[in-house]
Amino acid sequence: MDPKTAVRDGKGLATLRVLNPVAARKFRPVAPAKRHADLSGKKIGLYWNYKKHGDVALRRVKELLSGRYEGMRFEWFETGPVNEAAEEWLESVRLSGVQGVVAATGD
Amino acid sequence: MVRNHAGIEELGIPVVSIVQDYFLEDAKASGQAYGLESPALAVTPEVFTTLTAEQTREAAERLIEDVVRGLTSPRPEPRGEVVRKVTPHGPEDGVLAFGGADLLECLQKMNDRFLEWGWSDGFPLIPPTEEAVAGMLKGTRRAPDDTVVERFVPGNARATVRDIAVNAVMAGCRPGFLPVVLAAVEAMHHPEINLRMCTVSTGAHAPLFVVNGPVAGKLGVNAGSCALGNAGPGGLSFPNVAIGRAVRLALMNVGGAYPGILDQDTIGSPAKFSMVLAENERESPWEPYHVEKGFRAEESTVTCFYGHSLIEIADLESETAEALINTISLRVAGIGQTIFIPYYPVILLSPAHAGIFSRDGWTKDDIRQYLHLHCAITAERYRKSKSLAMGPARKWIGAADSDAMIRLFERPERIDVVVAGGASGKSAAYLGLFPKPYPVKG
Repeated sequence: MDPKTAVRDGKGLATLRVLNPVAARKFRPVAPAKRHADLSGKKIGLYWNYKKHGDVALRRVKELLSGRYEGMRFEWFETGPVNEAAEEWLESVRLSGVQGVVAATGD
Repeated sequence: MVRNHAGIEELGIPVVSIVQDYFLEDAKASGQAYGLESPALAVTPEVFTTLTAEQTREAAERLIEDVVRGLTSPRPEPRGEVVRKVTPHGPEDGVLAFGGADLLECLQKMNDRFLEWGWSDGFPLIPPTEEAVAGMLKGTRRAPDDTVVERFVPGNARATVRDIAVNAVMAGCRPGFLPVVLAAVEAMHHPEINLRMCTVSTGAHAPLFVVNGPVAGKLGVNAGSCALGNAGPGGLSFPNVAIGRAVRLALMNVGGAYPGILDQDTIGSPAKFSMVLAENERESPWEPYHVEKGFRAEESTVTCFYGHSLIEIADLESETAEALINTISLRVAGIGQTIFIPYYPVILLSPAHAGIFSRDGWTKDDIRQYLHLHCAITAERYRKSKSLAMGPARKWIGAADSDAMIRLFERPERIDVVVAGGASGKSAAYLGLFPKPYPVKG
């Protein structure tokens, strides 16, 4: 038997060999950004994708973070699924100078 | 959203995403599809869209520690290059063997396991043996290792001709169908279709493929009665069914759009099994769809319309173009559109309905212009239905006069008309979405 072949389900008089239909993805993982030891004075982006109440959650998060960290500033970002990961949108996030982002959708 | 999460992390900015427990597997799979192995997540058991505003605020309060942790606690550093199947379910071996008393029992076991691993659409599959796949590959002049799409959405695996052929075998395709399946896969990856949104949406998006040109007749793709239905006597619609099924299996096994993982459709749709037809060019009073889009009549094309479900518009009474277009426009406008996603319709006209327009001298452009002008609702009605006015449009609609008419379709040229179906009645069908003709490569 081919060394790549695995008998996965029982042994008997007959054997059916088939090709695996599932594709594999080869990639180099994205390195996560460095985290902050302290969020005081940081500018935080709040990113909403238009789904119901995602904005409500983010506004509450803003209130809670403001009460906890001195000098924290915020910038609001929105984009829907049509423009997701558009280069210009990501560039606007970069140019805003935010040092962290909290993202929320409604689902 | 997790796609943007990965994009922002790549900019060197830490991100934490608030994710509902129900969508956790989706969020993890989406992160991995975009190379983010371990996104920082603040997980809530509630789905905000189903809560009141006050309940949502309370849910956010319970998440705040996780939000802070997501921005402050170091994330695991990724190792080198990763090779990973688009699903965590099932074995990774390139060849699988199933034993039994006879081949029928082996086949049953294969189908049982494929169902368990999520690799099946639920109907019995034809076994993709090496010989069957080799036979399928004879249907195209393309090399087995040729890339069909570099990143098959939403899982983003590179898709080769062989990958698609394996799934075409499972769907029951004949080798001659493979070029159409390959073209369909390429067509639905056109950027205007926004395949990622369509495949991971909580809405019931499904692809409709329209085949034009000589290949339709050569393969027997049904353009007449029951073209979008199940197969019938004499193999009626069999190519339609098998081609669409192959695309669905490829969406799952190559694209990773598995139900309950990346596919988060709220209710689902039978349209997802298969939706393929040929344009009824012979009975159309107008030039074929692909000729209208700039292709030669002797070329063959596959067009993808990735929309919501079909809506039937039966009108047995209208005898003039003006009466008929009024019926169609009322129905299309009544369905409503969320204008935070710019949907456009494709109208499938039966030959009888197309004939009424043609007799009165109407062109497809006349139909487009009419629908553009008359599919409109008042700003007040938009405002009352919040979901219609999501996204940036809510700002200007909020400021508009109450009786200002808001057009559903901003650009008439994006409204498409295809003649399809048989002579059995006067029907039109409507489906929202983004068209893009694509030539079949044989």
